[in-house]
Amino acid sequence: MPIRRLLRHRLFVTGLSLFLLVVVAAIAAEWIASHNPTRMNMRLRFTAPGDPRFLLGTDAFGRDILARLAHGAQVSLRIGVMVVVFTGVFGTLFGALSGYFRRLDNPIMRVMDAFMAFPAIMLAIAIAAALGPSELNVVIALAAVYTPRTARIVRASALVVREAEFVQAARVAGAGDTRILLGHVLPNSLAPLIVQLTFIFAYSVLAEAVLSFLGVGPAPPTPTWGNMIADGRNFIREAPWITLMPGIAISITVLGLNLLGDGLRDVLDPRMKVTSS
Amino acid sequence: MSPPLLEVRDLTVRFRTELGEMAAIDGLSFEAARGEFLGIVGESGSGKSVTARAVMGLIQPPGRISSGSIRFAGEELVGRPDAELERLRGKRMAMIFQEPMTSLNPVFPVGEQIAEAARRHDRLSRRAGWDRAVEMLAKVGIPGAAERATAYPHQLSGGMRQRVMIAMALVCSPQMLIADEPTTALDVTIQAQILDLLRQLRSELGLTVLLITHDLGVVAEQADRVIVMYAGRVVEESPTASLFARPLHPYTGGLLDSIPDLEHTVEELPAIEGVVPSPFALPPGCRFAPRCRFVEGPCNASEPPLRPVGGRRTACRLDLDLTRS
Amino acid sequence: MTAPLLDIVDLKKHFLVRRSAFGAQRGWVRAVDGVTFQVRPGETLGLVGESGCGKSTVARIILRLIEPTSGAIRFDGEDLLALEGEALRRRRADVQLIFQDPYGSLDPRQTVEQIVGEPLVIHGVGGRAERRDRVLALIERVGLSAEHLRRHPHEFSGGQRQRIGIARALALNPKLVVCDEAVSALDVSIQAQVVNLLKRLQRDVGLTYLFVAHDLAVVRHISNRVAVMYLGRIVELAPTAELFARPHHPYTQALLSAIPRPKAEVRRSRVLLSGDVPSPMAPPSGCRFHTRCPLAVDRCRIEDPPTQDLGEGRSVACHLVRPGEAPPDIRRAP
Repeated sequence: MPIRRLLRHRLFVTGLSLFLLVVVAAIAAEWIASHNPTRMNMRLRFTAPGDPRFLLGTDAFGRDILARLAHGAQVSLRIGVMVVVFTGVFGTLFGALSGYFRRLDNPIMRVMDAFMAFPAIMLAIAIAAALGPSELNVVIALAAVYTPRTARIVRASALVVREAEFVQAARVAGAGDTRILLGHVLPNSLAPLIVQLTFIFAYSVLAEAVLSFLGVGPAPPTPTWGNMIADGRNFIREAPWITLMPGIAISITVLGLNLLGDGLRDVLDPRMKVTSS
Repeated sequence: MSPPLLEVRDLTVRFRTELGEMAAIDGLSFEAARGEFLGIVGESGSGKSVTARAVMGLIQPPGRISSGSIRFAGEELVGRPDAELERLRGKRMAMIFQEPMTSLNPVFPVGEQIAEAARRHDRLSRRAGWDRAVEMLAKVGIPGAAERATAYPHQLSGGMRQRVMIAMALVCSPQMLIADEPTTALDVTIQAQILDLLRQLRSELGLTVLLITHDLGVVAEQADRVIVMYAGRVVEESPTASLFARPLHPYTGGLLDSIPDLEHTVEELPAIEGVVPSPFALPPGCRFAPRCRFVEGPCNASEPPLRPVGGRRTACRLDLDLTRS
Repeated sequence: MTAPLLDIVDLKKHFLVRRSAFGAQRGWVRAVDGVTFQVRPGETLGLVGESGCGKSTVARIILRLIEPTSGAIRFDGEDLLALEGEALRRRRADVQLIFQDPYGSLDPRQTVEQIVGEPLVIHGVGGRAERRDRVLALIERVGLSAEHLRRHPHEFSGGQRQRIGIARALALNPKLVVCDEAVSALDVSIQAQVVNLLKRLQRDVGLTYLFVAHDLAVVRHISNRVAVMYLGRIVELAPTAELFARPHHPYTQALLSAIPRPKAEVRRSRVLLSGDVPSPMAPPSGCRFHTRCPLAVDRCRIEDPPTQDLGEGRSVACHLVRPGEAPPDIRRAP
């Protein structure tokens, strides 16, 4: 199976390692960070990184940055996963239906187009601002923004697979639309979908950071990478690490996901046909 | 006797793939004399198309010519920089392909495409290039050539497009034409027209033609000499008539047997059992041995070399009588 | 005479072209324009013609993959075109198709067992174990073995994939199998293997074939009778040996003349047709073949020749063919 080929692909392995680093940090947040991420200690504020008590330093309120980073990772990853699940489900549903049934194509895709007409971040801001600052609302906003893009990808696959001879073969054998959709169209649309979803995960992490930075994400004192950057914004000259650390964390996560996605795409699609003859 | 126009010696072309590096053609040697019509016949995996591309200098990574020599009119082609090869291509040797639709640029009129070749290689003016293009179109049998020259490829039928390809290939009067499966995608009545055209042009222009095909029938009617390839090697080389009357190699014999005859019916076609070996899992001895009816012990020990047999060559150790009734 | 298994009367399929690449307005592509023939149980009827003649369209209409514009199809005594829903699905078990493209006709994501077993699953045949046994029997019958069940299509060669396709077509014990250029995409030596397999299966299982192809040599080898199509019509139909020995229709003669023979003989004089196949969007007036026919007379340009039944299973659509007289010969063109 392609898993072996994946593991041989250097970019994929690099991306996977970076991403797993973040995942482990998020899961083991309690153990990595000996300090409480929300406990303020005004005497120890602006401690530089490298301090034996606070490995990555403290922020303007004396809060341990490492602890906040690790807990922020939890938020980012949770949001990422939820957006991917929502987008995956609805994007596939709309994409498969519009790609396979000619009559549904126009109505569904025009609605998708309407959503895509807005710049992603602006739409997310609008929805999140309307619904209020919370994790769930960020997920809803981002899912609304990314579903149309996913639907497009699935629709493209469905259009191609619909015309394939093996689908005609299934019809000749007596298969109905349901069986063809579930048994043939969807499995053959998986590869581009999976690749797209890894990129959507990356976009979500970035978007969530932007939304939190602007104040429409999860409310403080919950640490998210976005609001950590916002907090450090005024102290860039004196204590650059406050902004820098979450920035690096975001970069690592997004880079890792992108490399992972690239590797997946190289391996899954186009499938190299190796004839054993 | 004039020296051969094309001499290929021990040519090996390798490709890097996921499974490792393999030799698509392995130690290939043959010649083509001036004015000769040489047919190169083989099935999938035989390496015939790679041969054509190698001669034209069209092998790109992940493929490479790893060893051997290709001499055209006495000049060595292997190792020459691309710029020099470009001058040769189109001017002294030209190639036509199987699928004319993908070889022609869809956004330019066909006359333009032919004229461009003439202008580049012969340094003709715009007007002169166009006139030459129309002249060639007429020569390849396209009615109303002057008008047709302004047509786009998609406006022409498959047979017409192939004629355009031929016109484009011959506009600079090359010495050699390589045709890679030129009629495989065409209907049989159109195929007959195109092959007839090739024969006619060849005698008019004194062309040397290399015809690559899997269709033995095509080769029987057009070629002076035939080379049969299998799994990257030449297995037999023969003047056409004797190849079909009395093949020397069991693969050639098996191939001829498996073609249904238009005059007589048999109950079951004598088919060659098995499949072509993968280039990554080649047999130790003769490459055809696992499928051969006449195989003997030594056949599997080492690869038999191509040996001369009265003006012909065969890669079979045995002297078999495969005369056909 | 036994009743025909498949009875097709005046079948027509016209495709509407909304927008043409040439910038022309809409028109009708008369892909199939009045086709009538029968297939008897146990025989192989070859359907030949060049590209654009409509033979593949006929095949797809019989499989109900496309709906005809008009005409009647009776299968096993039943009106095939009237079937819908569940009744149609059940009937599908009796008519199956082998595709041309060994690479596109198998779902790359499925295993051989799933591919060959799918028809059985669709029709609710047996439990899992029973289906597995049946699938194994089918693939063994086509020359593959149990170890192949777990593999995916890309692990097989073209010839092996065609065998898988054949096994799938036989899964439901069909009465009629339509072979749509089933061996055209295969190498010559593999073609021979697969053709032999098809013949053997027909004998062992008792199948009826409609063999659609453009390669006349293969058609000759496998068919009992042959129908020649040109631009949507059948121009000649005859028992195989007769058709090849004494072709009556000028197009059939030209077709046979054009085929290159792998023989060590002196170059025979061939009659070449001039010009290209006319577009099915604008078929010529009168006899469709008259624009390329070396023997065409005035009548051919005006009047479409009806199909004449010449007895002994032979029928031709040509004005120059008269019963009792010698048939026209394109080599003696004026």
